[in-house]
Amino acid sequence: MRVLIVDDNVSMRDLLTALLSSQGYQVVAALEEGNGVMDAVRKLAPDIVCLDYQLPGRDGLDILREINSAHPKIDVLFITASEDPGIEAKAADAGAAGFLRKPFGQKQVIDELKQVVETRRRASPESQPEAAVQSPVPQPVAEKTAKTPGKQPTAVIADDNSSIRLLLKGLLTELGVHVVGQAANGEEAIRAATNHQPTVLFLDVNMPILGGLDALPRIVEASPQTAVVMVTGDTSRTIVQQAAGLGARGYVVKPVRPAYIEKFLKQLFNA
Amino acid sequence: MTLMIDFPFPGAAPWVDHFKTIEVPVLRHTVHQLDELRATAETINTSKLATIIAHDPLMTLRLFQTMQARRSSRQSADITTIERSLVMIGTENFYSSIENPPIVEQQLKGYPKAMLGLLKVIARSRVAAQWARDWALLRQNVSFDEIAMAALLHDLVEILMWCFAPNLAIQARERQTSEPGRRSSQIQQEVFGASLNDIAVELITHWSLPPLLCSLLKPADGEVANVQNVKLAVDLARHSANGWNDSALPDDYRAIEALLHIGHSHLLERIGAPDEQVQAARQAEAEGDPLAS
Repeated sequence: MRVLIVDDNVSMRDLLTALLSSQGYQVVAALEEGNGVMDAVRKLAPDIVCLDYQLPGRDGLDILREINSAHPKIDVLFITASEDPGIEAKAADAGAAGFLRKPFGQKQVIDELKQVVETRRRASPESQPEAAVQSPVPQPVAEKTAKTPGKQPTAVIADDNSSIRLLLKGLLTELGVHVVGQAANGEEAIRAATNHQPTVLFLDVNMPILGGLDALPRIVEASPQTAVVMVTGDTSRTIVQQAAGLGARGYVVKPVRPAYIEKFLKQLFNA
Repeated sequence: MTLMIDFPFPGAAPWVDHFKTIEVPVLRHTVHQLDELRATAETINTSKLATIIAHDPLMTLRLFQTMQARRSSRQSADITTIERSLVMIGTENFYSSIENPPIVEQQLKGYPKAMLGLLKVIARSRVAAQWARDWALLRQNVSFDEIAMAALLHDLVEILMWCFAPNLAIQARERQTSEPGRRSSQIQQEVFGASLNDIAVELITHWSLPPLLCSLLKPADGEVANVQNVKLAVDLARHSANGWNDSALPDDYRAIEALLHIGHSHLLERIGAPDEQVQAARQAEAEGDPLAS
């Protein structure tokens, strides 16, 4: 697994390099500033970027958005010392696969990277045959729990971030859910719900043109049988209550984790 | 802000290399106190600043790091007190060196047990420094400030471990509590991968800390009066932190009384022991009890 480290603190770069190397990761480079990160990503093709937020040259959030848009298969572990309580939600919405707030310990880095790697492994169809040898792939939730035997549940994914759509599609497919449509904004989500009448629709809260909360009542109206699940990096009570009031059946917190999606679908299909 | 160390380094050298790269955090209270005086930096009395700095071993260490960084190549004499260091650096330069320092409470906010452990060591170091100074004055030793500072920084590496390897520091403390028969250096070797004294020797030299601190770690210097002055103050602070009935205290008392040539009740009074213990010592002395001290 190839890792690129970007942090302006020399001690952090050195320690992360030593730690990740000792854990079997291949550290392809350790950069100290934001300028040049995209060039390094293109040249070195890392699988994971450990990216600090506050960097000289260019801020990490900006870089994160560009990596996600240009290289959706690269996972970004977002690192920050910022006290801004909204930064975690912003990073999650921008597609961070993992998040660490400084100060953090070596064990936390290892655990978070394991989660990121595991999520990517479960969501990547090409890695599944290999994964099946290493660890048993869970039996599809849909087969186990669908109310109508033989009929595969369907899903629409609406998120403006292509990396998150890719990840969710992989996870849902692995769990036996047929992804029939994808949308990058609220208007597209309404059209996809109307056309496909999916069993479940994963709806991002923050999207351009029409946000998730604005699209929600129209989706419920267009496809009343669809269980709408909000996908958000912001877990504030206001958003959760508002979504529930508008007819959402639940919410998934970003960064998306396979275990949570699996548990959630089990509950949804058993309800 | 750096990564917290959860796994021991293999030996003292990597710890030393690591501590050379970190920025030392300071107590929030120290920063607030220094901020209040910032407006008068040009005219302020350095002894006022020194009193605030001496209350925080971490800020004291930062001061010495700053002095080391600004040290002229022509300067040969060691500067061994906080006040003299401030005079050498200049108050404005000192303030420039502490713009937005990392705050230890912020650094350890995810480690409340470690924060508590750190505050206990700092409190103990302050008490040790206070006693060491008092005894040095009683001995009419002109190096009383240096002696006090050596006591303040005696547990420097333990303090750094609480700040930068909080989980390991907690583990070491728990092992020391559950295995009272083991030597602390053995436990340190197992938990940190190195003895704290080995790390300290290197760092004291690297940061040009007062040479008395190095003498404290050399067994050959154990009988030097100033070394004893510091060591006894540190031991007494460590043992009395467990309560005034700690089993190690009688030995400490005997050694301190011998160093200072004072009686038992007088010592208990000077160190602020509980009234009933002072009264009991006085009564025993009045009755000529040979076991009174």
